[in-house]
Amino acid sequence: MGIIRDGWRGVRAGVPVLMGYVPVAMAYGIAAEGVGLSFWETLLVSVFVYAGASQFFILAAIKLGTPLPGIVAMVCLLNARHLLYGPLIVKWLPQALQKRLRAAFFLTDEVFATAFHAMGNQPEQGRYAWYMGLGMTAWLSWIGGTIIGLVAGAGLTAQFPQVDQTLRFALVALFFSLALLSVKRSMLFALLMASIVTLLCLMVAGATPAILAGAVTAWLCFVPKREAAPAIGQTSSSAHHSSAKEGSHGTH
Amino acid sequence: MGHTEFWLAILVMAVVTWLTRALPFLLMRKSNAFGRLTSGRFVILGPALLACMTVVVVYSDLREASGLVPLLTYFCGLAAAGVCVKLTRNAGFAVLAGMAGYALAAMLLPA
Repeated sequence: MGIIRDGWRGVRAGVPVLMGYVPVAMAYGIAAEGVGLSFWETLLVSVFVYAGASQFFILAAIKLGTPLPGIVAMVCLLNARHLLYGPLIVKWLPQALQKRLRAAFFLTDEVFATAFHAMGNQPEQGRYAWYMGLGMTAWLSWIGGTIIGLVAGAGLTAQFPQVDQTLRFALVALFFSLALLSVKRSMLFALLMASIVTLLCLMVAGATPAILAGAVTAWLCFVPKREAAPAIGQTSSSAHHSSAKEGSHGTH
Repeated sequence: MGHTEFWLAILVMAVVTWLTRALPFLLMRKSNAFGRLTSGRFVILGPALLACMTVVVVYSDLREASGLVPLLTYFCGLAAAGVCVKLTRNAGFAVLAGMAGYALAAMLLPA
């Protein structure tokens, strides 16, 4: 019962992701139909590749007749930022490699953002179930959105453009809210510099190089607060505890 | 692109995408280099990734916006989400508030 309850909490945490994924996946389904992919081809790409930007790139590459090695190289570059996500949430995942590898499949930008903010607040025993609930919600909403896009076609979004736009805004609101929640006063300068560098890089390069450049800039500009030296007689364990607190991101 | 080549491409891309997400978990068993990403100066990485992703999605949307009204609509949505997250500390509520703010502004502001 505990697993189901924790999993359900993860599903609820995934609702904002669901609201943002459905319209974007619909757009993918509609675009794939336009490129000439069959229903099953389009759907299975969403099921197995499950990476928004890469899927749109695949469509463009198919249209342009790009050779396979070129597509694979670009997909690697597009996904390079994902290399940073695992290490940042691994402390909340079980030790078993098999479970971690299963969890990796669901680790998209939005799932990482939600998990990074909320996973530490979950009871330790229920974190994996919570994460899987979140991940499955996001994955299934992506698949569901693709199907709606394929079945309903462009007519649906053309008929209700404001609903489509409002739903698309969900992802922006999600990233914005999670970014605000994770900011600490000591990080403000570094994050401001990172945002400026990201913006400048976006103007000359793609999203992934911009995100990576921004992350490196933040790391270079950030100076963690030094803990006060422990008073004489203070136990070493309490000093260790405060140092560990500084090490965690401290948003919870 | 032929049928077989298409499926090969999809298979390779599915594996590559999964590997970029799973590789750190595999490498962390061999080396603790990835483990250091959660301590010291590296604690900034998580918030930085979130901030940078926000910049990317906002910029991508605003680049396509033409005129003042879409910009105002967008900022109304962001402001609603920002105020709500500050008051409630809950990202789910903030997303709903942001969408409500965006929809309301889209309806009320003159086209």
